[in-house]
Amino acid sequence: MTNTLLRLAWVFMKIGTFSFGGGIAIIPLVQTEVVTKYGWLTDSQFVDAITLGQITPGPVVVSATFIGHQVAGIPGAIVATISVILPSLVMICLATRAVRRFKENKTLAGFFRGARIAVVGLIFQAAMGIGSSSILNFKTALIAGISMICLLRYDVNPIWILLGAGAIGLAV
Amino acid sequence: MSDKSREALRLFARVYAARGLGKEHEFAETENQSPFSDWKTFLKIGCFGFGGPMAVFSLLENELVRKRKILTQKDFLEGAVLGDVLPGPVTMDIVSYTGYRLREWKGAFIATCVFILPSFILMIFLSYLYIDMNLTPRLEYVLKCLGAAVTGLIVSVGMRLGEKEIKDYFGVCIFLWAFASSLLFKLDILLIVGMAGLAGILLHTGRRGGFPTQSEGT
Repeated sequence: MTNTLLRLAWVFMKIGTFSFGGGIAIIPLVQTEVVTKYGWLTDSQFVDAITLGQITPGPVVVSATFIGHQVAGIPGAIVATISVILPSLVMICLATRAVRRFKENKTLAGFFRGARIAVVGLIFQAAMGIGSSSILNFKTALIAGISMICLLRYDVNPIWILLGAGAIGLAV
Repeated sequence: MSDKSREALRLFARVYAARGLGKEHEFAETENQSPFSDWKTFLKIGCFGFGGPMAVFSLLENELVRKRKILTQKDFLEGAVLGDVLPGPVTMDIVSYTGYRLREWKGAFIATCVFILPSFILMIFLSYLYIDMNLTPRLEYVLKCLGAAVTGLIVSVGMRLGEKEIKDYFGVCIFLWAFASSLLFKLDILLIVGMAGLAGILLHTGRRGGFPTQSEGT
């Protein structure tokens, strides 16, 4: 049992450390480790894990919770989730500290000035990605349009918009 | 409960006052002296973070920048830059970054844990459904509707940020380039953000005087 938990921790820390880009990009890495190398899940179970990860709010890495649960029950779920989060938590905190310390550095400020704009571009790209997979008919297009107007014009809290959209989805 | 909320109100009043004077350090210190009261925000967003890193980013931006004005848009975009450049899931990076900016290590840790908690609990529940009843819930249409709403949300936040951030032809070029290369050529995020940063270094470090980065946006 302890052995399995340690191995889970090791594998998911590795995934948390080496996954660039996040989201869908990490899936091949997880598959090699979890399915091919350790045989914890079968291929179809793995696909289900990713699907479930997309159903839950929060990032796809929550699939780690499911995988850990499959391998070693509740302790496995806890260990896998913590291990997948921990590396990036530590790295981002250290990086933020370093960035704030060198705030006056002109090279760094220039870097951020360019990179911030790139992120705005990526935001629109993310919108296109989600939009093209979910706006499929007139009704979903209407939802997208209404939510945009509510947010830009009337400053509605987005959580109400999400709740409303979910309710419409359930009702139909 | 009412005690706690009164305390939170007082804290925010102080934060607002400090921000009005533009004294960021003062506000960081006042933040450090009372218990971390922002965890509810992260819990709330953890319940609704459908649709990937940028959806979570939009929700957090709306809550902390627009409504409560604890952080600036610039702070937020820098968090996203760090999240994209560093390894690890970007959503978690953005959440941890925000927590760190609010209350250093403690804030980052609490924010991340609280954010992941709703998904964690739901996932355990779903795992039981999956094992015992061999069920995979069919929520596809609900997810589609949520996705449509998230699209609207992300576009609206993107428009607000773009308005502030893109000020010259250089900005327009980088914006278009990042958008096109991620959409059409599927370049790696790390590459896109890194190259935009390099362009920023080349264009902005040579100039004298034209360097408003430190003072703008406060």
